[in-house]
Amino acid sequence: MKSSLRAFSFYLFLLFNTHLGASLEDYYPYQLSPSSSNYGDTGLLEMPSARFMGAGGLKFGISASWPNEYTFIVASPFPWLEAGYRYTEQKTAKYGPFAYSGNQTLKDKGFDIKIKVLEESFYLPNVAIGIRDMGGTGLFAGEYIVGSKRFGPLDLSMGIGWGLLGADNNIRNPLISLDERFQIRNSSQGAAGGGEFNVGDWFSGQRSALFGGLEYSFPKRGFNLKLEYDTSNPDMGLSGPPVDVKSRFNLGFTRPLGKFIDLGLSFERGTQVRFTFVVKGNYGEKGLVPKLETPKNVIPLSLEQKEQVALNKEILYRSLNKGLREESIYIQGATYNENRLDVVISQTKFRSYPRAAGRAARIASALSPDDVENINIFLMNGDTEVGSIKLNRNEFDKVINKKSSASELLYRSSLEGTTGIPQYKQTEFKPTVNFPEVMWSMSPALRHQIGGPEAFYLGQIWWKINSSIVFRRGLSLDTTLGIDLYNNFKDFKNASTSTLPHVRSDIQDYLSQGKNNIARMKLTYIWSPYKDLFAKLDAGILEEMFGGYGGEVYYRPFKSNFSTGLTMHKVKQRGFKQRFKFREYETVTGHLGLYYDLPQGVHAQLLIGKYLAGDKGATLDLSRRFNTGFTLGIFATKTNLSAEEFGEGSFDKGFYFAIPTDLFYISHEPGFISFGLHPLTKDGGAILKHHNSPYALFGDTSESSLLRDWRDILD
Amino acid sequence: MKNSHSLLTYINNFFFLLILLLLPSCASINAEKLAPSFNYAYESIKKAVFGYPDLNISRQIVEDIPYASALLKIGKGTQGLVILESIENKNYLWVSKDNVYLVIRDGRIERSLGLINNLTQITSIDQSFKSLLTKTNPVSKYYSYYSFEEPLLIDLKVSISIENKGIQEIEILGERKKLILIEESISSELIRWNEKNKFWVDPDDYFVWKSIQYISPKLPKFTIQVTKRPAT
Repeated sequence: MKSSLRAFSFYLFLLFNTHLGASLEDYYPYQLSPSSSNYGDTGLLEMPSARFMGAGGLKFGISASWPNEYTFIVASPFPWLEAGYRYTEQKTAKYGPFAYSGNQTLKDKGFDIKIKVLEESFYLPNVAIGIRDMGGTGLFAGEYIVGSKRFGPLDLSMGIGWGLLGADNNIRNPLISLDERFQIRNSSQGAAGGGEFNVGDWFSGQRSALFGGLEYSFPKRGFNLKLEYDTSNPDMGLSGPPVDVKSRFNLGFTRPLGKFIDLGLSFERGTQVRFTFVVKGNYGEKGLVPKLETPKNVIPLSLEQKEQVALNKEILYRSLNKGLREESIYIQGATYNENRLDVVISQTKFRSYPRAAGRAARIASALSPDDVENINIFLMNGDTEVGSIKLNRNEFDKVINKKSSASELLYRSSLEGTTGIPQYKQTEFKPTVNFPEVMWSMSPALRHQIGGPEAFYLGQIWWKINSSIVFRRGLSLDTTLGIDLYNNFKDFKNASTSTLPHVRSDIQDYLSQGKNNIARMKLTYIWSPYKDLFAKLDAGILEEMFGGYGGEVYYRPFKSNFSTGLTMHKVKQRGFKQRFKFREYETVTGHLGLYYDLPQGVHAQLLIGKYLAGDKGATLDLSRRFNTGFTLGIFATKTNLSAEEFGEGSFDKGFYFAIPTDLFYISHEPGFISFGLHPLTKDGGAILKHHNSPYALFGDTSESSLLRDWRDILD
Repeated sequence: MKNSHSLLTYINNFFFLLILLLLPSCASINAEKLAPSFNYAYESIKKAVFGYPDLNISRQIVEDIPYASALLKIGKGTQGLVILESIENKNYLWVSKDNVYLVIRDGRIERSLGLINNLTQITSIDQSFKSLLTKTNPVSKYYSYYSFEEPLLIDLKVSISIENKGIQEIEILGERKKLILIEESISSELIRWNEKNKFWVDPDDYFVWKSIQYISPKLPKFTIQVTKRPAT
């Protein structure tokens, strides 16, 4: 009896002592983390938990069952926030009348959000508050407060749900005791047409329910077991009687397939089998594959060679030119003057300016005579200078030989903006550039419309040819042509009924008639007329739907977190075939842009001005950029159009993300996988697409950007 | 009217095709410009699946280096050369160009430094390959205790089982050798770690010329081939 009591006490001790064996867990064959719920957020099955992905997490997935199937994308810009966008397919209901949407089943869009309000400690659980389907039709709207506490491999969650999550109605809404307004939940169908936040309905209604569940990890076997008490019933019975809830206990398990895929299988409501497939990744911490492209090894000059270089600078300049070219860095000018070496560089390979500067400085230091004390790297983006990094050579050499640190190097270096007169015009060595320069690339690309009434996905595989003919520094003809490889646009059959000028809503005509198109053909001139001021003039076919002429000025004080810009264009709408014909509609559009870098890589952008359809208003864009370059953002536009004039969605809003492609590569390469989603393509709040805008080219070149990437100088 | 419309369409299409034809002819076709992202992705996937190309290390290079050297390959990484830095109390310290240090005693890695996860110590019975191969009743099953850092784990109990697989011929940088293959099964039920180490031992002086070793559950296999053995 005594021994069994002791054993029981020991097991209790093991269960509640979360620290014991923590180091052993690190060596289990599977490193399991809390998995996704059916809705995509980190959670149980139908029920949420207070667990989160790490900051920089992004996942896509599908959770299939009958009658509901969820397709989702969930991002975590901060460790305390998860935001998701989801399509729910109701297989028992049709999207609309047959003439409108054929046999397509109902797809309901929804935004979900979950915020951590309390961090887990030894005694207290993680606590989160969340809202499901907050901006949609409200069909799946539900709110919750949930706590999760981990005991070794066991993660217990318990919470209270409202709306859909309160369908079990096992307790009276406790918030009614605080305020009687919480009694009324106006609709389960949301605002007319959806798209508005039904704030008054949140946490309201007579129905609420306590829910709970557990997730138990088996790290030696590689799966998580989930058990929950499900208080929801997401089958509305939109067509026919709702599917019965035979059991409120759901059971399932998830298993990771490598680092990037989770599979899930569950048995829910006593009748339904559900399969979940999730592709996940964290793009905010580091590349998904190691970089093998280390700085080129340059053998320092011998004493004799150094003496020769000191006597004949041409040897130094030519060696620099050759050495830098091997790093895909192109010298634009150089001056060796007693104890100083100025090198002006331009490159597109490295996203991080300090990395390009560090690689250039390694070569410059190895090739320079001994009397060079300072190596000044002047940085250009294209043909425009953006700033300089002035390095103490001795300290730099110590750092690359691991005898000093990046911080010490920064202390002995200076970061400076432009002076107004580009350095490449003042250097002793000026490489010959033969204009016109022709650059081109081609690759397959996708164009699509997602979530339309005709079909969930209508798209095109498109062969995209980009070319740029540079006539002189800053002056180029930029062209993008598209050739159709495959499309299913023939299913388009819903012409725009917008009462506004059809500046974007004729997208179906542009896609289907412009399968082979000239997406862009414009003459651009970019220059820096004054210190910290950048400008652009452009004319021609500006984008797929508009051509015209205009310009942009952008002021970016190097030492400041604030910058501002002004764009103005006279544009005319292009023909649907996107060749050289124009339609009748023309307008003047332009915006004043205010940009501010907040802490933790958060960037705020406010655009105020006139939009393509002639409506006036403002766009607020908030994004977080991680050190890897991964960016997550949301935006919303409100103009002087009423919700009725704007149509479904009430106002323009959406989200986007950009993953640097080289996170997947072993080498450093430019480019992003970008994805942006407007749930609806509307005419209100539509902005002209700007290619190579000064803000895009020079916005991330201020002192704070160089400091953010400073450690790359060693890499 | 219809004819003029057709003519305009024809001119429009002709101009479009002309641009398409002219564009690529402006420069010679360069594979890097054809779907560059797909090329980079292909290269990365190829290396992740099939491993990274080995450095071109010849017998001549090895002979020209005045130190003892070995070829080291970690997982699918590039095979590189490690140099013997010092010998202290039968512990041989090998170092790579990128500052990975391995302490090898009697052919067995006993400590690593400079990796993302490191073996800090193996506590085990003192049994060399010489005693294993010469004793009439050598210990062939025993326990060792492995300690790691980053993350820290002390004294992981690992069961060891040793088997003599007989003579096998191998080649190291063009030199063929007939060696005894010793297979060592390592297993820790606690964390479900099961691997098989291999040692190719010289039958004359019991020197380990080649080995494939797993030193941590968090690290891939280490393949070591001695190209120039230390002076005895």
